[in-house]
Amino acid sequence: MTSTEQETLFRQWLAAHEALLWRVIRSFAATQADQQDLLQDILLQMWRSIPTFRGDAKESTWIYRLAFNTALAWQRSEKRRHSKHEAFTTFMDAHGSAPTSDDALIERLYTAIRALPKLDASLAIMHLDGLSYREMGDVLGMTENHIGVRLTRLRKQLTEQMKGQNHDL
Amino acid sequence: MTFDDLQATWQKQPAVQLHLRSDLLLTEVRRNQQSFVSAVFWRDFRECAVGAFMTYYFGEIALRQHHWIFYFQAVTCLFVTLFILIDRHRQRRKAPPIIETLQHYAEQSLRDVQHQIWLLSNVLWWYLLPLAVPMFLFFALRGGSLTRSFTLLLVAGILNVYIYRLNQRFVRTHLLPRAQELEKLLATLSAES
Repeated sequence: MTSTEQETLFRQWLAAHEALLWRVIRSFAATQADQQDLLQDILLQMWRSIPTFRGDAKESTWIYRLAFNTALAWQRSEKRRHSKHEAFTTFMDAHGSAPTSDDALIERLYTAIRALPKLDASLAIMHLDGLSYREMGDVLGMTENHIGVRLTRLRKQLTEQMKGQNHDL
Repeated sequence: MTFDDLQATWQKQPAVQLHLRSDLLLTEVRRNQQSFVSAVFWRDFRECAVGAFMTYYFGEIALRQHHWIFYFQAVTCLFVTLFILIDRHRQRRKAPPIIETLQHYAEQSLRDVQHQIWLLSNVLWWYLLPLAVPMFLFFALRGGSLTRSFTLLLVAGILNVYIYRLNQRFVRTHLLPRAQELEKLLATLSAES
């Protein structure tokens, strides 16, 4: 693969999966500095992995794997973050849409997901995104049966948690 | 509120919440990739060059002076250098591919962490002792006066104990918790597989 092809594919993936990446990043990192740190790690892995992409897996499956595996390996590091943060700050612009009534609910949902173990957080994101059990299995390497069992528990846990938060408000 | 309501709200999130300046980003990603490749190259080069230089240095003295202690030092320097290079080469080949399933990636990562634990737990045998023994012998046999030899031995001993303890602390504080985290994840992933 030539450098130009790699760059073209990188730009295409970035444009096509920006929202997916943002949801994953926001589910694993709370502060803006952490989000930028994780985003940069994921994009770096994406750049490195492009030459190995053969189209065997669906593009979205590939991106989910890459994002979750990077998030799994990612750990907050104050020292590392400072060195990367400054250079990266200018690459992100906050979305300028007007706040909606759902924003608070979505933020609480992200908070609830961040409190989950990483595996459950990954499952929750994919389930909320509407992936099938089979697709989730392809990303995680779990059987559909196992995913079904965990999701039943997870759906209940998340719903009750959100209800509890509603009562608190 | 049901889970389906939550899912509907989740999927209603604005399609793009993040505007990336892709040109700047691409430049930065490229710069990072180059700096990563360069850092790996120079780390390997540094270790190899220092080892090769030490081997040459002691080898050259050994050839001039025909003293077994210098041959011994040259051989141990060569051993440590080759050990590091071969181990690094083997580990790089086994590095976990980032695009594998989470389960496969976690298994590979755990193997990698376990290898690091093994390496640092045994640092005494493959790094410290091979370098320290000839050094101790040299100080003991050719260190000059008794006081000077004793001082040199003491300093070298303290340095070696410090390096050993530093490595063991890293294993305890970083590697073991990471291995436990990965083991826990793998146990969950394969619970019903």
